[in-house]
Amino acid sequence: MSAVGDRVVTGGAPTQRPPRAPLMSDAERARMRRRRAFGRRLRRVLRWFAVAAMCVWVFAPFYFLLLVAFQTKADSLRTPPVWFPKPDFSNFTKILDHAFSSAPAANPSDLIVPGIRNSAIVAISVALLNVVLGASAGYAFARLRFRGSRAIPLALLGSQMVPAFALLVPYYIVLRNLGLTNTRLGVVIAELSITLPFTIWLLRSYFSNVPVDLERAARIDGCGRLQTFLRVALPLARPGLIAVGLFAFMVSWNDFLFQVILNSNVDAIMIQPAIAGLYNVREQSFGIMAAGSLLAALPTMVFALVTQRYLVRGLMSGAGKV
Amino acid sequence: MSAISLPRPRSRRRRGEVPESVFGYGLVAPALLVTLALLAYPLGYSFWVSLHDVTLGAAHWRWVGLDNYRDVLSDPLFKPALLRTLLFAFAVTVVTLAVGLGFALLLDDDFRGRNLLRGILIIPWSLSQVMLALTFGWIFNSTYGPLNGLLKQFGVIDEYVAWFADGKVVMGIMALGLAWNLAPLATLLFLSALQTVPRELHKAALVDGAGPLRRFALITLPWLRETVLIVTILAALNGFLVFAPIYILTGGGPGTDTTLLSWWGYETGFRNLHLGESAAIFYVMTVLVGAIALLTTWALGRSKDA
Amino acid sequence: MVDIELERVRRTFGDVVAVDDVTLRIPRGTFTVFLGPSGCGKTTTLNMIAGLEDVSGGRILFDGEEVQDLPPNKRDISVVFQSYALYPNRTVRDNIAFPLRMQRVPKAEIAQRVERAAERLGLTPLLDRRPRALSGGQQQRVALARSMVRTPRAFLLDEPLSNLDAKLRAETQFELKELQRELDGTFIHVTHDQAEAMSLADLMVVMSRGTVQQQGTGGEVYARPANLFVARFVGIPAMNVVEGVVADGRFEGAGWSAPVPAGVPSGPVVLGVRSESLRLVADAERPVGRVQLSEQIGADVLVAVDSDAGKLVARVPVDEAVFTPGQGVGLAVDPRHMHFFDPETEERIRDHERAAVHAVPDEKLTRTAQG
Repeated sequence: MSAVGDRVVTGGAPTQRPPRAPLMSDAERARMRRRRAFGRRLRRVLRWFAVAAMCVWVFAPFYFLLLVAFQTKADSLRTPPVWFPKPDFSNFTKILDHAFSSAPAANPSDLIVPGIRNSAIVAISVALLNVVLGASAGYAFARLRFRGSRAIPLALLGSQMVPAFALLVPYYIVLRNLGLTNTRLGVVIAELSITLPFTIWLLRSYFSNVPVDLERAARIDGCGRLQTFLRVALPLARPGLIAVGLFAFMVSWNDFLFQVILNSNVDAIMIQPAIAGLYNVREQSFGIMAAGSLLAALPTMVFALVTQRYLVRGLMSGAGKV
Repeated sequence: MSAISLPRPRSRRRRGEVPESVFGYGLVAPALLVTLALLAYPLGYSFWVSLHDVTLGAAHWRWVGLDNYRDVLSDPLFKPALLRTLLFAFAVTVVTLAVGLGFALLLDDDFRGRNLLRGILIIPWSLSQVMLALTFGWIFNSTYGPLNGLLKQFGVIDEYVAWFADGKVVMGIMALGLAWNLAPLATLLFLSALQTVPRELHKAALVDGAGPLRRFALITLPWLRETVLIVTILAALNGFLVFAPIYILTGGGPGTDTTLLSWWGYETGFRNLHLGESAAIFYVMTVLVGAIALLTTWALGRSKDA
Repeated sequence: MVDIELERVRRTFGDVVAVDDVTLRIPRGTFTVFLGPSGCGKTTTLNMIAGLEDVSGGRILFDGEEVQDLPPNKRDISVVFQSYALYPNRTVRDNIAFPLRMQRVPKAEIAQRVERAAERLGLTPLLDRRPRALSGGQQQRVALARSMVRTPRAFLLDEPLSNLDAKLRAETQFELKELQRELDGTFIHVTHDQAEAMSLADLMVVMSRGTVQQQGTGGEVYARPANLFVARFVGIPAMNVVEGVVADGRFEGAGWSAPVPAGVPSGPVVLGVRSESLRLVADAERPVGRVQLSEQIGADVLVAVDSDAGKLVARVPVDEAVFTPGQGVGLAVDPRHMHFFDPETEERIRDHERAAVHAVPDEKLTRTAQG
C-alpha cells in the first residue's frame, strides 16, 4: 500500500483496531430501504396530484365558461347540464352580427363589439402615454441629478397606497363639469392616474439597472443629452418599455370601477361594463354572457400567454430582489 | 443613482447644450404635471368635497366641515361593513397564501413540463374582476349552474343548492374567486423565493440528521417570511378593495349581507347621490388601506433584520 | 476514526458519467486531498462518501461495512461546505449544537461539548452572535466547530478555503492540518488548488474527468507524475513539455538535442522537464529559443523562452538570471530530471526507471497504488 507521510500502512488488516458496532444492522437496513422506496413513490404521487390540482384550478372555471358559450340557449338551461354538447356558435354570431349593422343597440349583446373597440382605443392610448411619459420621467429620475430627483420617486411609490376609490368622486365631479363623462378621453385620463405613478417608478428602477457606460460613450462621441436618451437609452430599455406598455394596457382593459361610473351612457361603452351588463339572471342568457366574456378576455389572455416567460422571469427576479 | 454628466469645470458650459437640471426637469415635467394633475389634485379635491354637502350642478355647496365623517363613522351600517370587509380580506389572504404556498412547494422540484405549467399559471391573473364575477356567478348559479349539476350527478347533493341566498356563502364564493385570481401570482412569488434557498443548507441539515419537517421549519420557512408578507399585502389589499363582484352579483345584498365598504361608498354616492358622504367614506377607506400597508411594510422591514 | 474504501464507485446522470470506476483506499487518520480541475468529479465523489448523492455503481465501505445506501446522518461523518452552510437565524452556539440535538444528546453534555469545540477554535466570544454578524473566516471556523463537535469518524471538507482571502487561507490551512493531527482524524479535503493540496495532503488523489489519475504522497505525485495531465496540473509553473523522438540515446525535438538516461526506449515520446530543472545556456552556438520576459518570484526568476516547442519556462536563481529579452539561449537538462510520456496514451514511460532503480540509489522511489 502507499507510503502515507510518516505512516506506512502495511497491506494486511490491522490487528489492533478496537471492535466497533456496525453503523446499521441488517434488519434496520432492510426497513430503511422499504421506507425509502415508499417515500419515493409517495413523492411522485403527490407531485401528480399537485399538477392535476393546479390544472383543475386554472382550467375548471374556463371549462365551464367554454361549455356554456358554445351551447345553444336551450342546452345551457338543461338540468342536469349537458357536458359534451355539439359545438354551437349562435352566441358568437349574435354578438358579432351587430358589429356590421348601423342600427342602434337593441340588446346588451350588441354592446360587446363597440365595447371592445372603445376599450381597445382607450387601452392603447393609455399604454402609449404611459410608455412615453413614464420613460422620460423614469430616465430623468434614474440618470439625472436635480432637486427632487430622489424625493419624488419615493412619493410616487407612496402614492401606490392610494386606492382608486379615493379618486372616484373627484374624477366624477370634475369630468362631469368638463363634459368629459361618457367620452373615451375621460376614461383615458382616469386610467392614467392609476397607471402612471407605478410606471414611472418601474421604469426608473429599470433604467437604474441599465449600465450607464454605453450612454457615457455616446456622450463622449458627441451626442447631446436628448439624443443619448432617444438613440441609446430607449432602445436598451425596450424590454422594460414593453412590460410597461403591457401593464398599462392590461390595467386599462380590465378596469371596471372608473369605467362604470364615468360612462353611464351606451355611446362610449367600454368592454368590462358591457359584459357586466350581460349578467342578467332573469334573462337566462348565460351563453351570450360567456361568449362575450371570452371575447373580452382574449386580448389580455393572449398577451399574458405570449409574454409569460418574460413576465414570469421579471416577477421572479423582482421578488428575489425584495 | 448613476449620473452620466461628465465632470467639468463649473464656469464653462458646452455650447448649445442644455444644463443637466433643465434637461432633467424638461423630461420629467410632462409626466410630473400629469401625475400632479391626475393624482395629487384629485386627492386634495376629494378631501375638499368630503367637507361639503354636495348637490351636483348646484352653484354652491353647503359647508359641513367634518359632519360627513361624523355621520359616516356613527352610521349603523359602518361597523358591520367594516367588519365584513376585514373578514373578507382575511379570507382572501388565507386562501391565497395556502394555495400559493402549497402549489409552490409541490412545484419546487424540476420535472418535465414544469415551465409549461408556470406559463399557464398566468392565465387566471390576466382576467379582469368582471370576468371573475361572471364566471363564478355562472358556476354557482342556483338553477342552472354547472357546479350544482356536477354535485347532483355525483350524488353529493339531492337538490340544487341556492348558493346566492346566503350572504355569507356568497362572500365565500367571491373570496374564492379573488383567491383564484391571485393564487397563481402567489405561487410564482413563492417559487422564486424557494429557489433562492442555498442548497448547501439543506445538505448540511441532512448531514446533521434533521428530518424533512424540521428542515422545512429551519431552512425554508424563514426564507419565505418576506414573500409571505408580500403576498399578504397583495391579497389583503385586493380583498379590502373588492368591488366588481359585488356590483355584478349581489348589489350589496341579500339585504346588506354583502355590503362591504367599497359598495357602501359607491351606493351612497352614486345611487343615493350623497357625494360628500361618499367621498368621506372613501377617504376613511384610504386611511385604513394606508394603515394596512404601513403595518405590513413595517413587518416586512423587521423580517429583513431578523 | 475510520478506514474508507471505495470500490469501483460510479456516478452517472443519464448519459453523463461524472465519476467512473474509482477505487481508493483511505487509511484511518490520513489527511487525504482530492485534487483536480472543476468538473473532474472530486466533489461528486465526496458527496457519495458523505451520502449526499446516490451511488450508481460500486461500493463504499467504512471499516469494511457497506455504507453506500445509508443516509448521511447514519454514517457518522461530518461535512464542511464551501459556503459554510450555517443556519442563518440561529446563534453560533445553536449552530454548533444542532447536530448533537438531532442525536438527542442530553442538554448538559451538549453545552459542554459546544464550549469545548468553541474554545478550541477561538469562537467563545462569538457564541451568541448570528452568522451574518461574522466574517468569512469566523463563519468557517463555526462550520468546523459544528463538524468537530460530534466526534465523527471522518471529516469531509468541500473546498472550505476557497472563499477566504489569500492570507486567511494560508493561516487556516495550517490550522486545519493541526486540527487533523490533534484529532487524529480521517480527513478528506476537496480542492482545485494544487498548492493547497501539496501542503495539506498525506495522500493526494488527482482526478480528472471522473477518474483517478494518480494517488500518492504529494512528493510522489510531484516527482513522478503518472501521466501528462498530472505532470502539467501539479506544479507551478506547469511542467515544460516538448514533443520529439528518442533515438540512439538522444532526444531530438524542437530543434534541440539532449542525451537521455540509459534504458529509455527509442521512438516518439513527449519529454517533460520541470522549470527548476531546465537550465538556460547563454551564448549558445545554436540557440534553441529566444528569451521573452522574466518574472521575479521571491528568490527565483521565471524566464519565459519562446521556442519551436512553444513557450518554455525556466526557474533560475536571481544571481544567475542574466538574460535579456530577445537573447538567444540553449537548453540543458540533467537526464535524471527528465520525464517521458507516451505521446498517444500520455502515460508515463517507466521502463528505464525500473531498470535504473539500482543505478540511481539516491532517488526515493516508493510504489504508488498504480504500480
